[in-house]
Amino acid sequence: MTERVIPPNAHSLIGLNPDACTSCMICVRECPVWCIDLASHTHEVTEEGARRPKVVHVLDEFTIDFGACMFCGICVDVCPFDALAWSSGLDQSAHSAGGLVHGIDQLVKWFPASGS
Amino acid sequence: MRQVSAADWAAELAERQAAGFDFLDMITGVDRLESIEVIASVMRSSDATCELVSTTLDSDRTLASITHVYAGAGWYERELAEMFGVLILGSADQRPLLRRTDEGAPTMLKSTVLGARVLTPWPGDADASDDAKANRRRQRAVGVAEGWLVEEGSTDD
Repeated sequence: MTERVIPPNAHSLIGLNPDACTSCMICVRECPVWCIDLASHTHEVTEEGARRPKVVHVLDEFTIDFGACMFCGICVDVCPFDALAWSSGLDQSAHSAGGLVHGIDQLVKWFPASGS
Repeated sequence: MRQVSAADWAAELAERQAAGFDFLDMITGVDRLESIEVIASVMRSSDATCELVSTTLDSDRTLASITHVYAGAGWYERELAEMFGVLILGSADQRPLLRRTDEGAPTMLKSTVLGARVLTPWPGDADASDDAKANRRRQRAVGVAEGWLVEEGSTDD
């Protein structure tokens, strides 16, 4: 049997860089299968010399349901801050459909820069 | 991408397999509104090279089965039949793939209204700022027709 090779650019996982995410919701709204869920809250930051405090979004939760995801990559394409990225690998199996819903803890491991 | 006529579909894929593309990666359809395009991706597993073969179906939406070339094609052909309403000729297994019956409109056609989209809360509806006072226009999910997400008694301007 010939050796099977997984292409290095395989689109098998999507990773998240939570530090780059601004909770802008673009990926959530563009996802055709509604498999991304995001929760955030606002936080006021007062910078020295600023007239008014700045409102920043703090990411609380970010989940991708890989049971619904069809790996179209629209979320990766539309993210203005490159917080989502394709990753290759085969970490996808789970014992139940709920096990395919992955949050920040797992998605950050799949973000290519942090994985290497 | 290799473009072939629907009549040459099976012959072209047999040729691809003879050229060393031993693995059928996937077959899918694209609703181009006036026609259905069917695209197959085949891979040479020794070096992971992929090639795409595409055909555009006539209004009768029929396509010859290629299960005699790639046995795994049966799964995708059932999907094409169920989701895109493509009639697959010469395939042994005609059962719907995901739905229990093949009643109702093919779900992946752009003309099909998906009732579940009205009943399921859209994750994008919640504003990131979680600020009810935000004077934003109510956003609508992509692919949801105007008026679907309007609650009774509310105004959606």
